[in-house]
Amino acid sequence: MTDIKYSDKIMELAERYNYSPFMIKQIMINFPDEHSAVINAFNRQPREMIRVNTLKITPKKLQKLLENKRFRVKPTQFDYAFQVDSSQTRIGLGNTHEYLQGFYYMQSLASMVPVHLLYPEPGENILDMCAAPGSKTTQIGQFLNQEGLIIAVDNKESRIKPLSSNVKRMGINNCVIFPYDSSQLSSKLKSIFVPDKILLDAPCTGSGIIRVDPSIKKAKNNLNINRMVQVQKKLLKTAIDILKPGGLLMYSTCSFHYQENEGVIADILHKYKNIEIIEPNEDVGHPGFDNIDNKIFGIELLKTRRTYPNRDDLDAFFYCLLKKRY
Amino acid sequence: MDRSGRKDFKGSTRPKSKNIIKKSRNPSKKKSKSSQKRNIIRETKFVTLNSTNIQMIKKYFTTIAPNLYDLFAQSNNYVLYQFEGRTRDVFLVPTSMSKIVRKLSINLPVMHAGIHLGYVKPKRTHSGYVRGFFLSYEGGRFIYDILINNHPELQKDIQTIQLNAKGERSFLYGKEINFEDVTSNTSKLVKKRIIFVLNQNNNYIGIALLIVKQAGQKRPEEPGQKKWDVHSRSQNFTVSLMNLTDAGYYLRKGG
Repeated sequence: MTDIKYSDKIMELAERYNYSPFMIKQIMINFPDEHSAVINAFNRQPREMIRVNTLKITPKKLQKLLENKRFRVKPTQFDYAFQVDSSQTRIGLGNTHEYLQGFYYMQSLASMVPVHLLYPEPGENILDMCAAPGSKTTQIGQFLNQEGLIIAVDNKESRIKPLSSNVKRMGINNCVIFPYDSSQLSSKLKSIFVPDKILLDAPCTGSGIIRVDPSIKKAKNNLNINRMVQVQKKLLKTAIDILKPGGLLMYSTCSFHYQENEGVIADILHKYKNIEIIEPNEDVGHPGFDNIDNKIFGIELLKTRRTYPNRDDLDAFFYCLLKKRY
Repeated sequence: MDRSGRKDFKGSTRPKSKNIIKKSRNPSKKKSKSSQKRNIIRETKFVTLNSTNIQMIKKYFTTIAPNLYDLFAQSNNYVLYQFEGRTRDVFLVPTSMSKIVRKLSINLPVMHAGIHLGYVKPKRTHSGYVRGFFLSYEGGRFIYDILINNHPELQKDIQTIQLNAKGERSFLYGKEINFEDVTSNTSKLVKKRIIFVLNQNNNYIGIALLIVKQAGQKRPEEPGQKKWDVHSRSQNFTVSLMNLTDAGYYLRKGG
């Protein structure tokens, strides 16, 4: 193994904020002008967010029920999501009767964005390629309003139980779930199911959710990133293969590393000429990078979106909406 | 997938074994137990329900409302499927989805589709274990919603009770229901029939069963053992409301 030499500044920041020098260097590369603000923002506690299950209850009614239990409920930019402050009550958000009845799902705002941008409509066929534990699958179900079909796949059988449990709790009736390696799906699905829209919330290093899981500060290295990039490219190729011509594909990660985000998309755009990036209609996040770290991805990549922990008070996510041409 | 199976449980065709252990190339080398476990491939099936299990469900539905099964059969909106793996789960699949589900289940290990109606599992009786159907929490919720919203004429046939806040909390912990916590009229409840349990806001929170036990009656310790002891001729009865399933199971077992 070769020892990489880091500058004194990196070593000092790593020691002060309890990061590995590698992660500090990555933050400096990905957030060149605002790395200090990003590191500080990653130290803050994330806000508690819930997504109202509009299949079962209206946001207004749920707000009233939660306020009766002394939760402080604040609106967010999505009309079906609330920020909840539970400091005035001893009940946890995951233990209320409303939670058990499937009236809401605890989910960060950044994690709601991919489905919001994909915007599944009733009657459509949707494929969720990395579905467990089901936060986005149940959000898709909410958008479909029990019309259409969701196929939710995850490669680990142990993760199917929580996925199925959440789908049941939220009362989604039009979902099929099975454990399978999504990168091998194209031959199995091709003649049976052609999705109108695909959600690929790809497995990633998770560097964007340091606020939720601080162990990531020290756990990741270059090898993790390279391994994930290979998996992401494989999944993306399968998704493009299965997708209906004219259909939409949402690629998202909870990582800030450009290699897992703009890097993967630029590579796919280079290989597949029938794919284009669609700029989201919604005013969410900030444009992705067209060039970074001496790498030029192209102006197209400015249509992708990123959320920042310091600017948006959200986890650092990446979103890219792709369209398969006819 | 090997679909030529033996016949067991009154004519249903099942694969010969659920757990197939991969044969090692070199039989002389013994593998550790943990490595054998890793190599287990669980073969699962997602198939339409066989006639025996349909009869079982039909019989169970009569404990909810007399014409309930016919209601579903006539509407032709759903097809009954069963997942056969470590558990045997019954699903109600909307007819519009059924064709795709059938095709998918040929090559893919489908584990969940549509609405989870319940489980088929061994049930203890006086004469030992027999296979029985058990309604799930979601199945109960689905049936209750359909009856309330779409078939008000059947509302008189179903049994419901409403609990106060204390009763609801206790019920959601999986405990039996105390009659003091029931705010609705319990005098007309009938034994051996499903009771839908509602909270103060009239939301469905689970299902229960009225149990009438003769004083001195004990649970058989082993299957097949007689239920009665020396006090069996006693005229005293104890009546209780048994918790069959409740919303709290999402926290207890949900995953």
